[in-house]
Amino acid sequence: MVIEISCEEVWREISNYLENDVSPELRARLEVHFKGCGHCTAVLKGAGNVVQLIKAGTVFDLPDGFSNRLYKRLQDRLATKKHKRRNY
Amino acid sequence: MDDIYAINATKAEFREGYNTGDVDRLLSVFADGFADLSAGVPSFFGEEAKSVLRSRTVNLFQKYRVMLVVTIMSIRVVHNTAYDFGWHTLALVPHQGGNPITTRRRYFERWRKGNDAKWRIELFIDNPDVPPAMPDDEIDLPTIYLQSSQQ
Repeated sequence: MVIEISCEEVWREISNYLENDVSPELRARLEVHFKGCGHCTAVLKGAGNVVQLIKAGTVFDLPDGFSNRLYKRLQDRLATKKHKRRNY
Repeated sequence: MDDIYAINATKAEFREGYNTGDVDRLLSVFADGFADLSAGVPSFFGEEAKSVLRSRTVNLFQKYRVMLVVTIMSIRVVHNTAYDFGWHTLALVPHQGGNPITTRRRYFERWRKGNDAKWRIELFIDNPDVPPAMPDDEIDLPTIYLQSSQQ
């Protein structure tokens, strides 16, 4: 018998469900809930779409020179941390 | 078993009680002397409530095969009391053939954890769900009261 699950619990578990990080029992409870709950199914589809968009790297074009600026900023941040640690 | 899971499990018993046509299984979910404020029927309290519910469901299962889908929106537990609300989508398929009747009701339940650590429903109230609408399209309150007084 599949145990009921509330919408609030479903929302907490949606990202785990999408990442296949739920137990078989919880998966069954979620899937039964999605069949009967249009609202949670919409939330699931929305979350799934966001994951698809982020996975598709071509969707987000980075501006020119972004990588260089990011690399430089990380180097500066690391250098500052090392400097602080030495002074401590 | 935590309380939320236990209530979900008991609610699954409620669902299966309907879906298997098992009156005792359904009634086991309700506390003795619960308050039944179901829509469209008179309210019953105390010892009478359970016997009336038994009579109603025996009658229902004789005429229809019931398919219930429960959608619990939220469960809140406060010590030995809990509250939940959501929807019951009920399909009644006549044993003698004919079109199924489908209803969707929004419900609220108050639960009590007994000395045996089991959760049971001690208050049940529901009313027919209404399709979602934009605020401007809502029906005027007096119209709703007129409709319900004609039932």
